[in-house]
Amino acid sequence: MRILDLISGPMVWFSFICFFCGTLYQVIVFYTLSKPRPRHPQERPRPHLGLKKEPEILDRTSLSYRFAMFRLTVFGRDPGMMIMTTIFHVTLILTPFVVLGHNILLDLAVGISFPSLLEVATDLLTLAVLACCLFFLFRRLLVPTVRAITTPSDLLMLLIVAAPFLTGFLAYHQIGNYDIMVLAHMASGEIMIMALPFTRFIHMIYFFINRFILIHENTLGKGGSRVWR
Amino acid sequence: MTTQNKPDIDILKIREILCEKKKEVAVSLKTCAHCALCADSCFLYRCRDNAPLYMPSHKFINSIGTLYKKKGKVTRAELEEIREIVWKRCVLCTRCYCPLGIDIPSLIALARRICRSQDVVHDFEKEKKG
Repeated sequence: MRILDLISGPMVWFSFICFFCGTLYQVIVFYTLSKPRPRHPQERPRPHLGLKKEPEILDRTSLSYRFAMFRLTVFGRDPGMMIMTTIFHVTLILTPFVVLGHNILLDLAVGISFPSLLEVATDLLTLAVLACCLFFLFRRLLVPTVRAITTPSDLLMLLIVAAPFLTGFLAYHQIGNYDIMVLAHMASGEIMIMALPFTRFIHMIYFFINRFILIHENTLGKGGSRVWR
Repeated sequence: MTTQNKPDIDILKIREILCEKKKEVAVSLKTCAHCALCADSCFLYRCRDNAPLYMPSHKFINSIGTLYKKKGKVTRAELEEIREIVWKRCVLCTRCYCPLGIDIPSLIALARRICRSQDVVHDFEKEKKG
């Protein structure tokens, strides 16, 4: 079997199986490491005490209060990084689904496809991902706080993320050897998908766990249901 | 008692404590994206001119992270360094915030427990005398 057949055939399925099984495993690990807890135990109704609620001194609905609170959030403290990281993560996840080439292959393979964007639009999305990767690279090398905890593995992670987008862009524009670029694009994409649940990329899973399941002051949705053991 | 007079490090005891929370430590170390967004949530970091040494992630990576990666095989000097991190650079106020949900205070507390098990503790009397 040629290496191209292996990478474009069984390896695709293997990488997706690794991704889904790994994600499931990590979710199970989280549930074993955490325990359920009622949301606001201190706010249980206690009518027998007949306590009246104290009047609020602060107007928590005012714009100035909300702005002051916003400035205390991670977004308020570091807006540049947060805007870049939001653009990066949204484009990183969205782009592979809306690339016309991917959807044609998906349609041929399993008969389903996602809506595709214009090729020029996906090109821009790809460039956005690459620009964000460069931003993170410079942030890692230049910002003292980030540099203090940067290890070679962080740079490797960045390379793993950037590689499928860079090779995909080069292959589409036929820059360099097309066959090698396509092969490198598929291989690097599969490596990234396989690495997601088993490496530092599991922050993808833990971001949602933290925001929707763990109980803390910034939990979204219903306020969370679990705490760490 | 000086450092030189103290007995050797009981690696087995450290491993025993680490094993109790092995999974938690492993998941936390793996989840940490090294984004440094936790920095501003530490009042010590902000009081000490934004010195990276006071960043919550820096503290847990270099304390419990070191112990975990070395599987408890640390020297007394290394443990003394960890003591500096977990007592002098952290007051366990539990106000640090990780955008990915890592329970940093519990990891620092675990590192303190390991230090205590080896008789490496913060000497408040000595600190007072300077």
